[in-house]
Amino acid sequence: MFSFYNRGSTLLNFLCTVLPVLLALLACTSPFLLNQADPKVKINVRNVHMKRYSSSSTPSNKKESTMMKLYRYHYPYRYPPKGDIALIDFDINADLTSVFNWNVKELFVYLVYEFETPKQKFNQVVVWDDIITSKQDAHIKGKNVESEYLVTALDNKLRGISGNLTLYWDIIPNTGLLFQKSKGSITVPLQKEQ
Amino acid sequence: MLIESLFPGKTYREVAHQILNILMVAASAIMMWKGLGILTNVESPIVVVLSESMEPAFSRGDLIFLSNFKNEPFVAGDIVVYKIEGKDIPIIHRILKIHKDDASGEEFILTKGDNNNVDDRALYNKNQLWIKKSEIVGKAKGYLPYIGYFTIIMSDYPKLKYIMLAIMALMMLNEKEEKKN
Repeated sequence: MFSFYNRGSTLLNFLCTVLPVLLALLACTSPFLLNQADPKVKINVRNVHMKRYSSSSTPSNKKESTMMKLYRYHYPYRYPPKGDIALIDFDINADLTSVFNWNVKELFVYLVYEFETPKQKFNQVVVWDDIITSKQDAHIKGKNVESEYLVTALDNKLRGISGNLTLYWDIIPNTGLLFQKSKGSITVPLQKEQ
Repeated sequence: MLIESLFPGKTYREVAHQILNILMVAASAIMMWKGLGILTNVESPIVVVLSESMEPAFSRGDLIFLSNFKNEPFVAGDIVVYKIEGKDIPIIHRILKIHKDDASGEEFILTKGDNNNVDDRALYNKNQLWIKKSEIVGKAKGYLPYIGYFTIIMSDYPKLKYIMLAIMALMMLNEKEEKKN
């Protein structure tokens, strides 16, 4: 038991036994710590901009040109189809500092707009996302924030649609299972014409 | 004669015993892997992250555990691994949009990597705007950092694989001589 090989082998053996057990214990602490979290979320919508896009339409203000640019990004090989596109401006005040514990590497925070259309009952679109990597940055405050992604429907019609805007956060651990939690759902109707 | 030279000082029975042990270890490993695949309903339930498109959540070399249970439908924000029809590379990204058509029951899914500026439409096939549920391998459920870097090194430097195999073979042969002493 005195050769380099024997010593190295024993050490490696020990490491490979202790490390997985430690990681498993760490992963198991996650659900208990997350239950103690108490996030406070408040969202309200400032404005919903809706536009009927066609390749010949010209933007009449800065918001419309942003919407048209975002819509064209979605179609890399061709012109986007004619259809309704919507952009939501919102205020957000979310205190997610209590969600952070020793097993949280990052929080991926995203706003989901969930709505129903006549032919599709289940539609979910992420309109805004943000990455929080530390507890200090975990209190999200924003006034009149513009969404990063447009709301579009499969059949390109959004008139008269009303849906729910909810804040979700995806907890990426240091090791273990990933969890998704949500809070703060509000109803947002997409208005007809501006 | 051949066996006596390969395994010096052992009877045929001892050699057969040794070979059987090796086969048992290999069979157990395969059983555990396939068993995990059945448990999670995914053919290949553990994947290694190869690109940096999900930084800072997942870096190159992280291990992701997948599952694909029927009672857990896909929702926006899920991290999924998918393979485009015709392309064999699995991609790990997040679902940005999902629409479920009532008539056909088909789900239309758009994905995007956290670290990318645009969604994945440029990665899909030429006229493909959405991916289907059947193209998704599984949903990411568990995460282990850094462990998979080993497989990345092995595939980037294939000579290392042969060196490792040679070292293991040498160790096996040396073991027998020590035991005899």
